[in-house]
Amino acid sequence: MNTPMLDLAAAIETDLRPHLSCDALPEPRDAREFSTEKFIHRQLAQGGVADADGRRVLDALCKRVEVIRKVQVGYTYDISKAVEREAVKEPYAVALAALLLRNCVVAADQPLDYKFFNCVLKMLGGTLIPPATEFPAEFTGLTDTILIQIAGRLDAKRA
Amino acid sequence: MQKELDLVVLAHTQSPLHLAYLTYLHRNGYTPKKILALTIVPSTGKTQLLKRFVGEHFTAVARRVVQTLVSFPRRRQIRSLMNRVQAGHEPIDFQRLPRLSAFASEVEQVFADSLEDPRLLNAVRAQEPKALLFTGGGIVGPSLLEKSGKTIFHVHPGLVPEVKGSDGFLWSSLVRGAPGYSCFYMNAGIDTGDIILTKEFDPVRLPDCDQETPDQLYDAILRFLDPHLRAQTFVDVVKMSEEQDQPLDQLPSRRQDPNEGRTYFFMQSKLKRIVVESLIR
Repeated sequence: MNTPMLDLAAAIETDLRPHLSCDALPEPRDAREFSTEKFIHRQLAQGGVADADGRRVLDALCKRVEVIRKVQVGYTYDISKAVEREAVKEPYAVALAALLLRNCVVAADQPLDYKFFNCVLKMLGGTLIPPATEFPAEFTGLTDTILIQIAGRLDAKRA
Repeated sequence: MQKELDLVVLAHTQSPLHLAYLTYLHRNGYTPKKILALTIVPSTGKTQLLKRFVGEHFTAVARRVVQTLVSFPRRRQIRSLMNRVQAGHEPIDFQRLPRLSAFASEVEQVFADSLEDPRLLNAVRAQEPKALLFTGGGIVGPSLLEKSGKTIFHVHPGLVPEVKGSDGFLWSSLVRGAPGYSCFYMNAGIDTGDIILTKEFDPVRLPDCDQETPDQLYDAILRFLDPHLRAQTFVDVVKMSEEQDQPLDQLPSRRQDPNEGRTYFFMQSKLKRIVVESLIR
């Protein structure tokens, strides 16, 4: 099973459409330097496909998720330290996972962004420190599909 | 005839890596000037109490005995897996700790609470050679890096800057399809030191390991296979130093742009399982 990357991108677009919209998000909170909620809100308002700067921010947020196990409201400009320590509201944590998942597929001719994907798997696996975040079931379905894709690609590469 | 290197090996005796480095150096005709045999006995809870009554040496021995007893029922199984994972490499018996004096004429024991322990810093600082090979895991803190006066080698399981961070072997296998290793002079960043040498290996295939769980296999790769690849990479650096007639602490190296490449974190279990399973097919 080795669906072309384009199909994977389409599947992600379709399955995540309800979560790649900022319509249902609460008003994003401001922060002194970098506001996580505003960043997520802006990315979704722009269609959810991050440019190079957006990807750098997502990369830095992966570190907050995987090492600190929290996504907080405000960070320093370089996202190296939390300034506003409160956790983002649950819809923003879900939206961050959707954004990471959407941006796993960079382009049809490029490999998956495994780092973003790993971060999503950890979020779905409950890595974030409570309050617990409940992720919609379609996220798990989609990550399972991607895992099958990865296994197929690894086998093809090694054949 | 062994050639003595102007090198101190900081042998973290609780990690199998030191044995691979020393064995590979020995097999290739090299002897470090000195081995600092490091045993880390953390000062926490029961260990602290034990240290106070019987001293660090016996606490370390007691810890080793307990670990051996705990793994004893699986010893034969572990040995079998160890041999299968090492297939294709001249085997090393990682279950038997040899005398370190077989690898260098001078061996000094160092006990420390952590890598930040001032006793370790003092022991390192007192060594004559400028080059030091760090053989353990864990993060080397600023005291050793900045105050020891040594140039510290580290071999990382990933081609930097593309693959930095944790679980390098797995990320390399996933991202590049094969393991790659990098030897660099350590600095304060995570895998951002000046690169001396990178080495790509053939894709790993472990067809005889299909009876083990992915977790068992992952553990065996880290303990019994990864050390071979790190040690081979380091031996190449030593040979390069010889060929270029350059001291080990002054080898040509190239600076990394810290913003280049990716820093990966521990691989999530589902993804890890897929990568590990791909190695046995």
